[in-house]
Amino acid sequence: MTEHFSSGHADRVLLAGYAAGAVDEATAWSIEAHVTACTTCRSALSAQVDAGRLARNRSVLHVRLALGDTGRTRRWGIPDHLLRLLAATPSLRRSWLLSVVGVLAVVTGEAVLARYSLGGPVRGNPSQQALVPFLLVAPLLALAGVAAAFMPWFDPAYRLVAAAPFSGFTLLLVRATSALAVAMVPVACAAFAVPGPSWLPAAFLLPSLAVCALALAAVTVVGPLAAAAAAGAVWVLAVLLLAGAHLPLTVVQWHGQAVAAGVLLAAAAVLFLRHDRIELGWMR
Amino acid sequence: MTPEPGEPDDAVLLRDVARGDEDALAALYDRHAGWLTVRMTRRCARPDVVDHAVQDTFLAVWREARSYRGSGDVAAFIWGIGIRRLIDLTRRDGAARHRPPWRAAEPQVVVSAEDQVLAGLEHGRLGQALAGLSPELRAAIEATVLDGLTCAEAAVLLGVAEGTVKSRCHRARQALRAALAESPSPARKAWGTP
Repeated sequence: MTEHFSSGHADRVLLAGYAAGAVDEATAWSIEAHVTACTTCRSALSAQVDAGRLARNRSVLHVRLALGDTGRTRRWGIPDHLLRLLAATPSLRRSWLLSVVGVLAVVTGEAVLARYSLGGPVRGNPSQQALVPFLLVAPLLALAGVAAAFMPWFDPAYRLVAAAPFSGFTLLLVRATSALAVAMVPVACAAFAVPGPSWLPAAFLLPSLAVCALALAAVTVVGPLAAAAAAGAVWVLAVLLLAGAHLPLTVVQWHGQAVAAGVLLAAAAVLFLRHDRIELGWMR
Repeated sequence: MTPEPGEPDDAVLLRDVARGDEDALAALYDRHAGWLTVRMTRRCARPDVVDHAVQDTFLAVWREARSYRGSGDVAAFIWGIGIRRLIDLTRRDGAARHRPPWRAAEPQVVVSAEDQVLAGLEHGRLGQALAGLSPELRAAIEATVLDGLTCAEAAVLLGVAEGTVKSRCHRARQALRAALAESPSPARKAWGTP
């Protein structure tokens, strides 16, 4: 049906109609057969596609290629390249988790020793003071895990993250949540071993969440390192001040939990309002 | 993008891709992703599935570039990979239910009769014969004849059973043969009907 292609090439109107699905079948077939063989018409047809869409796909292609994606797998309904980016999160690696467990073992052991070397609880405060290192460290471990999930220089895949087309914010939240969840498991386990009130394992969840959310909220204002340091400093300061007042456990008791909930809500609000500030720009 | 006079042609690029040259793959992408997207969109209305299929196509080109025999259009080679990637995704996502709406209904954007005339379009006998087919029969013919798919592959793309594709192709061929034999062509008119 070469008569459809007056100058030997498909007309622009015709190609636009084809791209919009507005030509009849016979014409569409002629165009497809022609375009397979004709470079000029191929590029004219390619011009009908949104250039931004093609560029986005191009960068996903690069990411998938660099991550060794075979283009075939999709596990648990999640695109393979997203899984691979997640798996490249430093704080989800085995070496990281081993160091978390190591630090927890030291502070837990310290608390246990401090208690039993004193020959049992000497009523209230002394045993609380023995808990200070554990109180200090536990949420900080969670914070470190989350921070490592957003610090470019810890992350070999960060160039790929920066090239990824999905929002940096989404990826950051996914990574931070998984890092936090993974860190909380050894923290809760260690809290069982620490001599302290029976509610201690559960009591770390809210303060850890609050400290991490604070760091994420701070990332919308300052650089990632400053944000993590500031959030960590807030926690350390709170624990040390209360330890100075001989009431370190207060930080995870009722008043502490209420303050943590407040901080969490405020940080979530800041994140919600300013999430567009966490685009890929700051990761470079 | 049309290759500039100095640029390597597609076959050369494909050879470079087979040697592991990522820049060559990027150049192939820039030349072919656009029309591939349009052509896939005619077969699957979901942009996310099409985008994924386009990426998968170039990942497959990356893997399978060596299987290109060096004869035939690179575009045809890429389409052969692309349509099968699209079928794979269609099978996985159950996207067969998301056929482009304009296959079943009237087109949203209509190229007016004047435009078609301006574009040099006339409805020849084949056009008329095809227009006489039901959309189902046309889709079956398109998948097997134009896309070069097997009946099993076409069945996945169209979301029907393999036997259905076979019988539709058979009916479509019969209908086309009958239409082409009966419809009076301009030439026949000039000769007069016996």
